[in-house]
Amino acid sequence: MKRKKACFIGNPNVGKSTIFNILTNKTQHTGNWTGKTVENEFGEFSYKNILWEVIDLPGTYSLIGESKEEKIASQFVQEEDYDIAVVVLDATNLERSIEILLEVLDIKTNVIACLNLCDEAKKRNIIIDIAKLEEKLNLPIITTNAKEKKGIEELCETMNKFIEHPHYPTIPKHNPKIENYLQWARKYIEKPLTYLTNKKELKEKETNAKLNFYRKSLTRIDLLESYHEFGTELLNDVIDRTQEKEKKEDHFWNTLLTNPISGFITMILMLFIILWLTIYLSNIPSSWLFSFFEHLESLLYKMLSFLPNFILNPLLLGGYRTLYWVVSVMLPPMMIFFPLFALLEDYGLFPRIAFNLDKPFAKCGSCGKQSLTMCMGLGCNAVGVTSTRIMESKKMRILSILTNVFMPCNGRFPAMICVINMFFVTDHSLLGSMTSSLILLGIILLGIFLTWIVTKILNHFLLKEEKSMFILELPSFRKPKIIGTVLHSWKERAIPVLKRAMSVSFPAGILIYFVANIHIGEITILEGLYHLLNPFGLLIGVDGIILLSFLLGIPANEIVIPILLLCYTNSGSLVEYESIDSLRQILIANGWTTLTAINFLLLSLCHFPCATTLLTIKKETQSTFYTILAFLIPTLIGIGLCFLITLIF
Amino acid sequence: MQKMLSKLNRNEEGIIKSIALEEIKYFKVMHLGLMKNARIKCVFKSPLQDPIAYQIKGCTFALRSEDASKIMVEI
Repeated sequence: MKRKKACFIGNPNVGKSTIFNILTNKTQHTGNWTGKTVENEFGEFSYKNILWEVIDLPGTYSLIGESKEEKIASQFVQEEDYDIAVVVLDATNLERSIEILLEVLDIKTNVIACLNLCDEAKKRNIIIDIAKLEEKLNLPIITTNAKEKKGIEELCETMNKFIEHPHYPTIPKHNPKIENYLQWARKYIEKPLTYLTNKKELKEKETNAKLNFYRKSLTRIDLLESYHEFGTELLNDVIDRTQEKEKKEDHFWNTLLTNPISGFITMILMLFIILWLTIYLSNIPSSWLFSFFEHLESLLYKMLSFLPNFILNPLLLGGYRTLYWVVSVMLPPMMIFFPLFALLEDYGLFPRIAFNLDKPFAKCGSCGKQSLTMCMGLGCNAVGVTSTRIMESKKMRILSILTNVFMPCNGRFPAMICVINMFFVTDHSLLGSMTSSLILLGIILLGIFLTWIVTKILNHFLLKEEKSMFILELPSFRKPKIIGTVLHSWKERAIPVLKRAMSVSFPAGILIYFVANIHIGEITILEGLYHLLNPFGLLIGVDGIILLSFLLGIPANEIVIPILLLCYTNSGSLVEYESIDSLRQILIANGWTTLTAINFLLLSLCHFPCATTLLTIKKETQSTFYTILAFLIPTLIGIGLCFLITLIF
Repeated sequence: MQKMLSKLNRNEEGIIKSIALEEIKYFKVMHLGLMKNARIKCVFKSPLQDPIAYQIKGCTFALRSEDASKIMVEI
């Protein structure tokens, strides 16, 4: 089998990653918003007698820009060796997506094109004469509908054929301004266009001086304009948009979301529905999981009874019980929340939210895209921090990274729901679950409010000179593939988060068991720590155990509640879950009041990010200073808020 | 008649005549098809009236009116 290499180039959000995933059987996430892929992805597939190594470059509009994605893509296209460059075009917006194809044609000749989203274009009555375009450019254009997996076979076939019979496509014609430079430069430089935008020096002094002169008089904008002119002329008789119509669902959502009243109501309602479905639907599977694990525990106990007690008890009463607590409480909400969220994301709703919320964020020195990163933070703060890469300026990135933790992630809100159900909602019917969702919604809104305030304050201190900007594409709504999206969100988002929580909870459980059972002098280590932290805890309206649980929960927020219960039950081992009421009794017996519950919720919302998030922040900011700030800001705010509430009560 | 892009009413169209944005923003909007002589349409406004969504060919995008006021269109 021959080995060949192909790279995929194209605008963001044209389905490049979808095609890449189908070919390589990978599950890289593809959301309907610009900037999902920020690094090169590698994969392999074989078709007939060729083993293809494929590289998915980050989506870019151009190869001559300054942004990170543009640099990664352009460096690859110019300097790496590959047998074919597949340029993915967007049939619904060929005028724009063709420009990167023209740029590639100026550098390479081994190029084929793939026109994706053809069905979508047909739906909107955009007529494209593909044969004519093929003839004009003299390169094969394959039509695909990646979401339906249509045209992929033809794409592979064409790639294989190209290896046997390569051919030479049309090289773009430039306008007189650029052509003038090219005529001179072709004599001295290979690939002269790339020299216009890079900073490489030539050996010959005189030629170099002349090159620099051209560099000064011809900007990137001139170059782009030239491509644009050529592209417009090329497509003049290829595309017919006279019959184009707005898609019905686009019209519906645009009207609904841009209305001053219905716009915000719809957004809040959607968040509410997601939270409510998550809370309502996860109750029953949660109790199933509990009883399953309890039965398993007695079985395990019998099976392992040959072990001495000092090994068996930490393993089962410490490690195993903490583990099953985390799984039973975490798994159901995650399995519901993540898919619901992914569906909205794939549908294309998030950019609309950013659009609607830009103004308040602009007032705080940031932009609407911060709301996108906050949405991701609701799933997992570490993911939220990574997603800040979509923001243009360093300042806006730092602001959103430092405030992302104010969005309670999936590791935190099951604990919040637990406490809400214990102290604020007594009946657990349909109505009760709605009340819990409303309270949780309120907490998230408080988080949004805090995000705004903290962003505004930080904006005064950090990187003053940079101004915020907001230019965002609003893609058309696309029906997501429901089953695919659900499975994918389980596999790629829910399971990794759960795995992390599990890998932390087992050892943490064992550790707590020892801390609670080993005596130093008269008291256990746990009691010692409790006495150490308790005075401060009481000052801010909680107690030493709650503080200790949050501290021990640094590796993963999911283990806060199990640790809390483990510490409260004097037996030194985690209680069995009987009912939400029995848990409430335990907490009340340990001095919990409504005030304690409120403060617990506030602390859950505002405290240091978990270890994974902190490491991600360090990686993304490359700065210890910002990592420490990210730790301190929410912690101090949380302590301050609790202190205030306690004073008022 | 020429007017600022930000002053375009909903569903009003115009041809872009001049763009006075700083280079980094200019570059960004060029990728959206916003260049001299392109036909642009104001499609809708955000609930708070700013930013505003425009359409060029098949592409819909949002600009703040602060930026849109630096672009002149012929209507």
